[in-house]
Amino acid sequence: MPNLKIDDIDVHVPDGTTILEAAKTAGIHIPHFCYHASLKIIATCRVCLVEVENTPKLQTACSTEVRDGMIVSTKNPRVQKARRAVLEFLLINHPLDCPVCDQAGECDLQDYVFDYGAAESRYVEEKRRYPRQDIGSKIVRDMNRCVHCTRCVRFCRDVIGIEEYGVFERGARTTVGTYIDKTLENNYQGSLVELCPVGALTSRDFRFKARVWRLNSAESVCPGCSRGCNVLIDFKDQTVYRFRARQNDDVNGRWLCDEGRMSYAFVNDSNRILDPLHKVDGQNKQVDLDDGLSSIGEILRKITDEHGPDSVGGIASSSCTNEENYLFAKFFREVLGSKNIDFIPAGRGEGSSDAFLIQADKSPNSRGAEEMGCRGEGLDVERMMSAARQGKLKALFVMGQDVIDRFPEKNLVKEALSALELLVVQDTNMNGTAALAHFVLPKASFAEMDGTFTNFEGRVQRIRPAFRHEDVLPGCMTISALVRKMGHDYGYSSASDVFDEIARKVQRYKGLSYDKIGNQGVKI
Amino acid sequence: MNSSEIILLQNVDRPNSESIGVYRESGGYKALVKALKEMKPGEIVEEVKKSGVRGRGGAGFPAGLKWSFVPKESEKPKYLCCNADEGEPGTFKDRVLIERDPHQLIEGIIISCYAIGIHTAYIYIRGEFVKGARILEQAIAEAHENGFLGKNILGSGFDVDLYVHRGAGAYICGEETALMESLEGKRGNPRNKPPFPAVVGLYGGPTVINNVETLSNVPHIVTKGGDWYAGIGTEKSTGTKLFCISGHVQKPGVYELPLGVPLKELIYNVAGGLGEGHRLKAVIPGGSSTPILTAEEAEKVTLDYESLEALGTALGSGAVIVMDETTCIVRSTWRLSKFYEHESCGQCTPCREGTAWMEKILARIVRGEGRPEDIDLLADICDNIFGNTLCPMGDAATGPVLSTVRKFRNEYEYFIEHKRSIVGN
Ligand SMILES: Cc1cc2nc3c(=O)[nH]c(=O)nc-3n(C[C@H](O)[C@H](O)[C@H](O)COP(=O)(O)O)c2cc1C
Ligand code: SF4
Ligand code: SF4
Ligand code: SF4
Repeated sequence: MPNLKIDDIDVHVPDGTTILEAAKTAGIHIPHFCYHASLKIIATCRVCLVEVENTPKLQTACSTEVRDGMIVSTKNPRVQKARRAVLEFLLINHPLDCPVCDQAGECDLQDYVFDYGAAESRYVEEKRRYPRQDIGSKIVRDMNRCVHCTRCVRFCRDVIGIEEYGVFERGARTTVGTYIDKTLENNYQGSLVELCPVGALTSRDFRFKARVWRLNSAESVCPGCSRGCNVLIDFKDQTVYRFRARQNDDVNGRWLCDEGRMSYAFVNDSNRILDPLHKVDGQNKQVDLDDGLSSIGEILRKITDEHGPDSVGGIASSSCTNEENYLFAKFFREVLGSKNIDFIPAGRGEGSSDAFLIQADKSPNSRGAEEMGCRGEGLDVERMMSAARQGKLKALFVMGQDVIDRFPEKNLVKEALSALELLVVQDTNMNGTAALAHFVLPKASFAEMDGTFTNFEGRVQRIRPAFRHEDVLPGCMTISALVRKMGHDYGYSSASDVFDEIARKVQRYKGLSYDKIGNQGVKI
Repeated sequence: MNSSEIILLQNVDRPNSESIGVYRESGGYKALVKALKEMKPGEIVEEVKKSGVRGRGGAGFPAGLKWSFVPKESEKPKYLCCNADEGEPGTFKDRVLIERDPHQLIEGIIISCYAIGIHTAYIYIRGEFVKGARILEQAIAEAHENGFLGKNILGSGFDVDLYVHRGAGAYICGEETALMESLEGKRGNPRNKPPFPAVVGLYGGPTVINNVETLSNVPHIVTKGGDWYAGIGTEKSTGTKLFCISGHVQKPGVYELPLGVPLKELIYNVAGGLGEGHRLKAVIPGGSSTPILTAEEAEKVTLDYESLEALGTALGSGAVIVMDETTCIVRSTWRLSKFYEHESCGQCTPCREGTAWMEKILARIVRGEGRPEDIDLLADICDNIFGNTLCPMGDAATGPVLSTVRKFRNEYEYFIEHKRSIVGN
């Protein structure tokens, strides 16, 4: 473990640590463009030059490994001049129209120039203008803003192993782009946007929708597939603006796939269910949640009293949290006495997958749903549908699942659902199944609640609310209220209470807590 | 002084000097026989170290020392790359060695491989040298036929394969790490060091890269011994050197002279002096990137590593560019800056942006649109590039600009003030 001094601060780091990373441990930030902790080190941007005692030339902090007794200066006048010089070189051909650049607020170039640059330009020559190139539907390239760091190229080549973005020409004419005017096709283009330290690559989806400093972030998990990539939800008021990758080396590194990145869209959709609805004479009427739950409880009780517990069934969801699914299953087993509980793993075997992140199961929590007891010993979904058609199943409670959408024989399913005496659907968005329901209950989306998902490898990860809608509850809280209407009280006041019970009752989750799971998850 | 020792160019004027027959008639491949039959690899390295021969590609690094950095045992194959990219403006010496005495080079390569324990060698040759590449291919075929290349060379059990690889027209591919990238089939961008090629080089294996001229010396060192070689030239600059003299002299060309010879001797005697009635104005002593010498400095300096270094310039590749009083320093510097601007690989910021910026400023001055502050700006841009780039090309690009701004500032001032050159054209 070498000991060294960086700007007079003693630093003690393992062998093989670079000066840049060692400085970070001492709270010293060394600016950098080409360096990225997840990419091959190339030491080309030269903005990280520092002085190492007894070494005549300035050294790149990103690539120089520490040695015992090293004395490093990251701030002396010589270093500052070199740093200012590199920034000046980067700016001479830069458009400098920051107010209309979408990177504003998260532009490393702007920040470094503010911190270390010179106020006025000595450049009076004509600026370089690159021709426009359309590189596809997901990202917009503005080569004039590029700092030639090649993070984008190295990501494609070295991280996802797809050769479709390269360096062309040389010298000051160097460009970075696709081969022979092709468009980018890979599934990780949003990662290029995140990697790009300037506004050269921006997201078509996010461009000019918000000034980033007005957004807040919540730590969460992508609901797009069973990988459960860690994300930051960037939001304002009750709108999600984008996902950004949140580092978790055991799950997703620092990356997200493009589909997952866009999987927040339903949260903002105009078809969100925000009020409880009761269908009267074929017309949906808004009802008070309390009244709605009372009516549902009464009807359920009546049906089980008349036809026995097997006349009711519940369909949980691989998109719901463990807390939601656990309570759903418990409600059916303990309050209604029914074992007719099932769920449908989303897209298993249908969705595309790859060797990097993307999983074929397009839901975040199939494994959790299974482990929370949502596969009962009674009827499975298909048998529930035939029992309903035959008039044997009288009532069905569906949480977070458009059942019709999941079957090719849609008419048969519709027929079955229409034959029910009671269909309750709790979901985030209006859908075909909800349209047939007698009662529709709003459900918080992943962006609006606490909870946990268990990914395909058995990693339990937390989601956290970015914001809430009034009276839009997570499934577990709705069930909890319904249970109360039916004369029981589990005494949960939050998802966390439910999880504590899971941690007591479900063998594999024994001893876990929200605190233990933290923001990196725990593998069970 | 004794300027009669001719080592490298001894064969070049014979008819058919490129054929193996002519080469062998004058003793060719005897050094290889001696090396394989009488010497251990380590002894050859020792002789080369003793000879003091320094790299002739520009940097002047002692060849024997470089070889000794290569690990003896290596999991990955070791390689030798002969740098025949010869791209530095003013340099045209390797071409003569390649076209007129290819077997001397090939023999040098085989002996060097034997000395370092290498079985695969490449000659990376500048793309424009079509004739040279053809001659080398032919010579390699002849060497194979004669049992000097391939498996079990001369029954020694030692194998070497040698390949010619043609570059695609980038000066930067002469830089050793860019050369390796290019050989591997990639874009010729220099690599960040460390690791150094002797440890991690071509295809990740330990690699020695030497210039054509450096390697061509090896057979002679083996034949006559390191001490003999070290006896030529000066103490720190041993042996002879090929000088390519161009510009305003009567007899431009490639001449072999012992190191330490006065530059004056080369210009006025060997190369026939300047044109009738013309005066010496400046000399670029070692290829376009070496800082310029004034006439006064040029009249005094000797051609060896240490003397030129003491004047803040370098022996470089031995390309001496002579300029008489009709030369416009500002224009010639602009022309050189165009070269560097065009040849920068573009990966690192100071060189990519700085070379282009300097070229634009110089072009503007030459158009008559210069501003007085441009002179200091040029000097400061040089300062901002120098020492801050990934490979030596950045420093190289500052050589002509900074040295002319310092030594011929009056020409810049004149051009800016009068909107025309001081030499009146
Ligand atoms: C921009 C640049 C271009 C170079 N071009 C050549 C070249 O054309 N030929 C050459 O032998 N060395 C060239 N060099 C030097 C090589 O990097 C390397 O030092 C040399 O090939 C080593 O051989 P030597 O030790 O025998 O001189 C160049 C260096 C730089 C920085
Ligand atoms: S587009 Fe962005 S990431 Fe790619 S080289 Fe340019 S600045 Fe770097
Ligand atoms: S791989 Fe899966 S979890 Fe990760 S971003 Fe894509 S959809 Fe989301
Ligand atoms: S100094 Fe110039 S040639 Fe060398 S790596 Fe940097 S940009 Fe390329």
